[in-house]
Amino acid sequence: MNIKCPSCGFESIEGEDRCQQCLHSLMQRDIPRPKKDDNIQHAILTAPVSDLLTGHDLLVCSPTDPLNKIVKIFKKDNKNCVLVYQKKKLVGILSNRDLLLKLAGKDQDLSKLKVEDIMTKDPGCVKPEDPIAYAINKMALGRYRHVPVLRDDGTPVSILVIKDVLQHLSKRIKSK
Amino acid sequence: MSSQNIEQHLQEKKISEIINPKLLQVPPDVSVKRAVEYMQENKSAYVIVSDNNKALGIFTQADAVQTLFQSDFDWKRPIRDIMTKDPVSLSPNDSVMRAIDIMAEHSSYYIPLINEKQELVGILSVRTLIRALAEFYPAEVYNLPPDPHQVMPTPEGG
Repeated sequence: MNIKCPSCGFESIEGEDRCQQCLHSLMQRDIPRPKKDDNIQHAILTAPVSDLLTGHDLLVCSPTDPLNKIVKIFKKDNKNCVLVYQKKKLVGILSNRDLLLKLAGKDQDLSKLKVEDIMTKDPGCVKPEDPIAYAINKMALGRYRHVPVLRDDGTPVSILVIKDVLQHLSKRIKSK
Repeated sequence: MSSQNIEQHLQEKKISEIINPKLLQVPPDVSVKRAVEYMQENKSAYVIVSDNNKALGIFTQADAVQTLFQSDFDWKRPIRDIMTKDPVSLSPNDSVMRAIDIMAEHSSYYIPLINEKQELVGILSVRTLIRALAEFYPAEVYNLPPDPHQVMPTPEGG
């Protein structure tokens, strides 16, 4: 991926200190600040992730749990994502996408399969005080829809769903 | 692109400019098993059920767990039995802003794009949308340090 120069827009190769066209510094000293008149920019840079959290979506399991148990819970409570914890550390995440793309129609015995067999390992996560832009960054680069929100010590707070981000943006734009 | 008029930009930018050309569609009488295999082969969690370029319905990951994971599920049933009929749709000429509103309102992650002749021309997924948003804010979203709270465990940082 190239770095876009904030001054002239030229795309320099990653790792350059200065723009190859206009020599503008590409070394960033601080987190970008929003401009005053930009509503969306404000919405994603100033509001922390914790503004969007409901806590309803949080669900935690262990990597050795059988999949039939997870499917049962997903179905019963209409959940679609679970965090996988081992020894108080986040090791993976399992969503209905994994179930559909890796499992559906394969005639396997769900009680013999474990969560760790199909989970997505080491997902990106954010902290409750991070700006929403961070979460969007994780979602765009990692192609996730669910981003775990963890405290500093690794305890789970919630799962941020892409839908919540869109609803937040949509509300902010309308409230202008 | 100047960064001050992003809202205006979002209103002017058409959906057709941000979508990718990939589109998964199956006829309505194809079996559920085949449709699911098709999604798995393409690593996409949706399929549009269409007939003669007309979108009849859609089947996505949101429906998958509830319907597919039943012990007595008949995989030979046609996909039209389990699809969501008449999904919310947008025109490829609608603005990206409208797409954000519609997706937020209906909580659907995939929206078929239908042109003025009522033909299916594409799909807008939530990932495409969020990537497009990230591209509107390259500095804000991509140029963030990988970990803002990083503390080096040793003085050398290595």
